[in-house]
Amino acid sequence: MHTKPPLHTQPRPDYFHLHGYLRWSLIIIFMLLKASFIVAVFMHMAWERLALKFAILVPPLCLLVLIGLMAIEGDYTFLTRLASFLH
Amino acid sequence: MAESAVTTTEASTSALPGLPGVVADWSGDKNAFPVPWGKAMMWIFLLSDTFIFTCFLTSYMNVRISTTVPWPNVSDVFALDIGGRRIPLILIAIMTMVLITSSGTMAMAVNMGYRRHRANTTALMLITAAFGAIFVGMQAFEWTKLIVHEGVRPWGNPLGAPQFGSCFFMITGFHGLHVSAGVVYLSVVAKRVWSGFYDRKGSYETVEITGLYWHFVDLVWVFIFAFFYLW
Repeated sequence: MHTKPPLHTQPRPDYFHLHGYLRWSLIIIFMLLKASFIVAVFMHMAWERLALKFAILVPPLCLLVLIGLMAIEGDYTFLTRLASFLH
Repeated sequence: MAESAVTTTEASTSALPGLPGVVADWSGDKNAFPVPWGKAMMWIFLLSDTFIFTCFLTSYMNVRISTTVPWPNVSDVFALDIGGRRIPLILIAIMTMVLITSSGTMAMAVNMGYRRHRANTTALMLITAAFGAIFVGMQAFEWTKLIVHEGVRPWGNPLGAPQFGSCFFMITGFHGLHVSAGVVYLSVVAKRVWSGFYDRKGSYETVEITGLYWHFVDLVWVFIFAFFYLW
């Protein structure tokens, strides 16, 4: 995950005080675990035909490309804004 | 693909004139997945909905990466004062519990449906719908609090980056709309279950298809919760 320069890290009323890569990786890992559980078990995907699994689960991989592109774009926009505001 | 049409009877291979012909061609009995068409179509719809929500979340990410004004501290914005103590993110924790429980009751309803247990299926679907309505109510409370008491607008807010409001309202608004539509959908199907419609039809697969939609709503919430409220 992309971390911004910490312009705004104020002390957050957290319970476990995890920060940085540890925090984000825990959030992402648990999010993906829960999402996978919901799709596989609740939505029955684990027991569906392989053709249907592929048809539904492969196209969202394109979305990872979109996310990567937009993360790069966001960095560029940020630098452009800094450049234009600071003249 | 065109060759497979030749295997049907001679009468049906001759083209109908005009648009009915187009419909007849595309709706011919060709199966990619031998699953009930309703299930395949619901999955394809959910796939398209995944793209929509990903676009919203990705643009939120983009906006947040490029903000020059600090983003509001979400632990603070979404905290509630309960009994004199300020508890961060309590409302969405409850909302998440409500939604995951509703997914549980939905799975039970699908199970009961395949056992042809009309009463239990109806009851469990209505309980699921009730949990969904509770979720929307809590989201409405959150919106009221932010709009009325915190002054959050789509174009600005006193808490930080001006894009916070539009991202929040757009993403949670679309999700809340999906939950509300799901509540209606669940109620309609529950009513049909109770009237014996699916016993006469011969299959309770519609209950499972309804369940797919409902679990998708929960799935989207998992991502919104992680990216918007925890980040």
